[in-house]
Parts: sequence; structure tokens; C-alpha cells
Amino acid sequence: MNTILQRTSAPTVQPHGEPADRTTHGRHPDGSPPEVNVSEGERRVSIAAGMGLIGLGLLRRGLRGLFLGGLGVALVRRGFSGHCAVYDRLDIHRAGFSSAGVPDNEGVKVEQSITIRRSPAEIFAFLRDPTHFPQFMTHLESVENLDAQHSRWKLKTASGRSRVWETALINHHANELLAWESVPGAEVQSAGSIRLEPAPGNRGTEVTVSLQYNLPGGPLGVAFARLFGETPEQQMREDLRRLKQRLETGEIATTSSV
Amino acid sequence: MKAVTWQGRHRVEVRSVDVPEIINPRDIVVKVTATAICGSDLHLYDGFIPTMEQGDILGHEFMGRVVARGSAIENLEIGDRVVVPFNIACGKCFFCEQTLTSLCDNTNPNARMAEKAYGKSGSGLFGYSHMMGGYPGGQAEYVRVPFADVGPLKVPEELEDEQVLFLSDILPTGYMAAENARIDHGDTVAIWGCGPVGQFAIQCALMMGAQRVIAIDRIPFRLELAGRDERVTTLHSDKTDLPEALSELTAGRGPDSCIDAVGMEAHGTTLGALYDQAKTAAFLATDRPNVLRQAIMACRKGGILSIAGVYGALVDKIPFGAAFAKGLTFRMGQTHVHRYMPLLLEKIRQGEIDPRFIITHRAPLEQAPELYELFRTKEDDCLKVVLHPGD
Repeated sequence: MNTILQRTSAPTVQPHGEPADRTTHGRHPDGSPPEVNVSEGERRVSIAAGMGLIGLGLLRRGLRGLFLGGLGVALVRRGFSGHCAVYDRLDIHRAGFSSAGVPDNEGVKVEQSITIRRSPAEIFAFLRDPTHFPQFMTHLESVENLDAQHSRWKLKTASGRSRVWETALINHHANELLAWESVPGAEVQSAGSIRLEPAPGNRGTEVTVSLQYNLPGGPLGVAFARLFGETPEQQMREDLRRLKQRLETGEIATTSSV
Repeated sequence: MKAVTWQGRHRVEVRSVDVPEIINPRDIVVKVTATAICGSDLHLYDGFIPTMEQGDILGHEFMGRVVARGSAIENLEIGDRVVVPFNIACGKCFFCEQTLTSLCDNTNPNARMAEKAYGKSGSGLFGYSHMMGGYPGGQAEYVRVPFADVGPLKVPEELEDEQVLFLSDILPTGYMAAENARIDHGDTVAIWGCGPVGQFAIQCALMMGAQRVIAIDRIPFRLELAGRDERVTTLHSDKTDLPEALSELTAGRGPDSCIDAVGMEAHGTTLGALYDQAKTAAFLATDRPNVLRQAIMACRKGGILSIAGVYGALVDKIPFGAAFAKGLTFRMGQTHVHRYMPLLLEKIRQGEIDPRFIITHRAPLEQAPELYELFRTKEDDCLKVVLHPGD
């Protein structure tokens, strides 16, 4: 489940990809097969779980066995068809998820928080412009705005190669939430959100960053980094610390002139 | 320029290094006119503090003149004479706003290292290991001072360097030690350690209304200096049964507050001290908390323990049951130098304190290696060394 994207909270900016259109859901009037609204990974899980339940139902027999078996059949059908009636009713549409952001269950996901002694409005004003990110995210070489929603991000990798991809702002609530994801076909698949909440007792603002990304190096590259280098968690911790320094003191504490 | 560098356990060398430059807008560069060796520098010298690297520039007590300033500095001019606090504070974070400047959130670039050891990181410090920020120290001809709009205190020209130099660390540290002891009029205060911080803590405790101070050390010269005031009773720690003496001097009550101005490298001949030496020598423990143990046992019921001596990591065999049973209060920490500097500068101007009485040795920077060794061995009645770069 790609929770980062916060698609359920009323977005002021349309999510990237196809806009949700109610008329495309359910069985089409012309009798074509039901529309696919379940993602690939979830379909596989659905089939496996359904088979398991059918087996369990056969073993149990009786009324309970019948119920379990029935549920299993429904799940298997859901998996093979890719259509979920419950999702349909709830207006959830997850089939196209791999086209933008990060596919389900892939890549690295990190979430960390820090308290910054600034108002949500001050922090939001700074973070609304992604070109500020390289000031505290040392792995980013540069970010360039393409238009109000789109920006081009350039990453420095450990091997010295840089990777460039395009990102779209997909969610944006003044002084509360910002969310980005990479556009379809990006070399680096990524999705990230920043949530701002006033800290209790006038302590400033609690800033929570979620980040999910999938580098071309894949899971192997990440495993390697965990073993021999900076883990994604450490990296984010340091980035957030620098963000706090930048916003509280106007500069970033250092002993190095480079 | 010349700088005193750490080269390993019991090895410091004066080396030629690059002159520091402005990096951030809130930086200044100071040309050092006076700098001191601190008792806590001996913890580095003795190899007790982790994350030191060969070539690190030592020193956190220094003063001098501003020779360069960053674009955001408006309160200081080139040529201003300043004393610099040993801890670096941003002035903007939650802790700085309460003048708890040694707990500053934003000045340790290596906070992750301190977090591993302590859970959370305090402020960055000059010349005190990479865990504390890796900032080059002030035992050098020049030093870069970050966040200079918050830290450095301008001092009047009519006061000599040696009158104000100790505002950088040990005078505020002695003052905070006494303040943490929450002294009431009529109190008896026991102070372990008559080094520079202990000497200042004695003065400050008396200033705050202590009726009597019991000063404890093992070096006759230091006890003599402490005992110049008739309100001070001195005890030689190796020649006295301390628990007995402290109880007797207070007719069985115990001192109202106890100040530990020694810290993790306590010396001694008691069973506890020998145990600590053996354990630290075998790297089974990092600190030798003999003073802490004695203070906990000696303190009166409901009394206060003020800890000014530095502890680095783990301590062993602390009689915590005694502390609990007697309802003791512990107050401690690195000094919030910024909080006390203006107040103490005023006391120096008024002649209430003259900190020069602790200085025993003065030398050019080049002689630092011999003086570190002298200070360590406490030979020649060495109590405080002041180095003058450029002499």
C-alpha cells in the first residue's frame, strides 16, 4: 500500500496520471470485461490467499467451511480478473499505480520526524520550493523548477554518476502537507511527502518526511548501502538535521569549507 | 600558523597548519592573544575521550581580536577584543532560548556520533573531539568562531587578558557548580577537587552565602590556596578518612551540598579508586567515579549533588541505593557559559573576583607539550597554564 501519497485526502492538485473518472468503473455498458482496479502484486496475493481459504474450507466442511470456501473463490476471482467490487464501491483505483511514483512493495521506504522551532507557515514557505532541497539534502546535486508543479531533480550517486528525473507535485495543503512523485518512465522512481503539525507546548513544528524510492541499482544496491555505507534512515536523519539548522539558524553547522 | 595538535595519548605537538577562514555568514576569525590549558584537556591528553584524531587542534579556553567576520555579523567589528565561550551555541533553538547553551540543538555537525553515545547531542565544542563537533580549538594563533553573533563577549580594554580569559570556561563552570548546589545561607558545602574549577567554585559558594566550605584534594599546594579564606576547611583526601571527617565536621548531619569538581579521572587510594584504576586499565569501564561515590555517601539527607567534573561514558558501582534512600538531588552538565559571562564580567570589573590567583605558569604556545606533561603530573605546583601565542 502506497500510503505516502495521501490520495484519499482532498488534493488541491490532481494526482499525476489518469484523473479518476467514475464512469470508467464497474462493468461497462457495452458488456466489455470489468475494469481492472487492483494492482499486480495485490492480484497475486489475492489468488494465493483465495486458494488457501478454499483448501481450509474443504478441510473444515460444514457451514464455516462453506463460508471460507466461498470467500476463497471470491478472492481467486478478484485476483484473476483484477477487478474488486469493494474497491469499486469505495472508489479506489489502484491498477495504474506502477505508472508513476514507486510500484508497490518495491524500493526503499523511510519515514522520520524532527521538531523545528519555526511556525508551520515558515517551514511550508521554504519547503514549497523544491529548489531549496539541495541545501540540506546532500545527495541531491540540484533541483530545477520546470513549471508550478514539475521540477527536474539531479542525484549524485556513490559511483559519481548523476541521475536526472522529473517530479510532479501531487498534493499540497497550505502549511500542512506537500507530496511529490516521479512522473511515469522516470529513471529514478520516487515518491515523497512532508507533513507539518504544530508541536505541543509551543515547541515549534513537528516535520515528518516519508520517502520511497527505487534506484536502477535495485534492492541489491540498497542492501549494499546498508552493509557498507549510510543507510537510508541515517541519510534522512542527517538531511532533517540540516533542514532544522538551516531554518532555525540560517546556516548549516560545519567545519569544512567545501 | 602554529597550533597545538593532539597526536595520541600523552603526545601533543606544535605544528604548522593553515590559517582558518570564514566559512559561514555568522563566523568570525579571532587572532588569539591568550589561551589556557584546561583540566578537561587532560582527559584528551590521557586518551579518555573517544573520536580524537591525530592532528586535531586542541584548546577551548581562548580570547583575542576579531580579524575577519562573515556577512551576517553586525555586533562585532574588526579589531574588537573578545572572550569566546568554549561551547558553540546558535542562539535560536529551544535550548538557547532558555540560555541552556551547552545543550544547543544546532551546532554539532557530528551530532550522530554523540547520539550514539548519549541518545541526544549537546552543543558543539571547540577542540574537544569529533563527537563534539570536530571544531579546531583555540590553542593556536588563529581560530574560526562560528555563530559569533551569539557567543563572543566584548571585553573592555582596561581589563588585562588574564583577568577575563577564564570567562571562556572555568569561571562560569565554578559559578554554575555553586549555583547548581542551591546554597542557602548557613549551608556547609563540600567541594571535591581544588583545581581551577574547584577554586572558583569555593569562591562562588562563599559569595552565595555558604557559611563553611570543606575543600578536598590530595595536593598540598592546592589545599593551601583553597584554605586562604578562614571559612574554608581543607581535607587531604589520601590522609583523611573522608566519610568520618565529613560527618564529624558537620556533627553527624553531612554537608548540605556536595560539589564534584573532579570528574571521571579521580585519583585516590581507597579500595574503590584502585578498583576503578584496574577496570579502566583493562578497558572494562571508561570513568573512575570515586568522588561521585564518596559524595553520595557523605551528603546529608535531602541534600544536593552538583557535578561540574566531566564524565564521559559509563560509571560502575555507584551507590544508587544510598542516593535514593537519602532523597538526594543531582544537578550537572556542561556549563552554559553564555548565561554567566556578562554577570561574571561585571563582578570582575567591580573587583568582586580576580581570577588571576589560579595562574601558576605562563609560556609561549611552543612550550605547550612540556606544559601539558607538567600539568598532568602536577609537578612544580602547576595549577593553571596560560599560553600566549606570538610571544
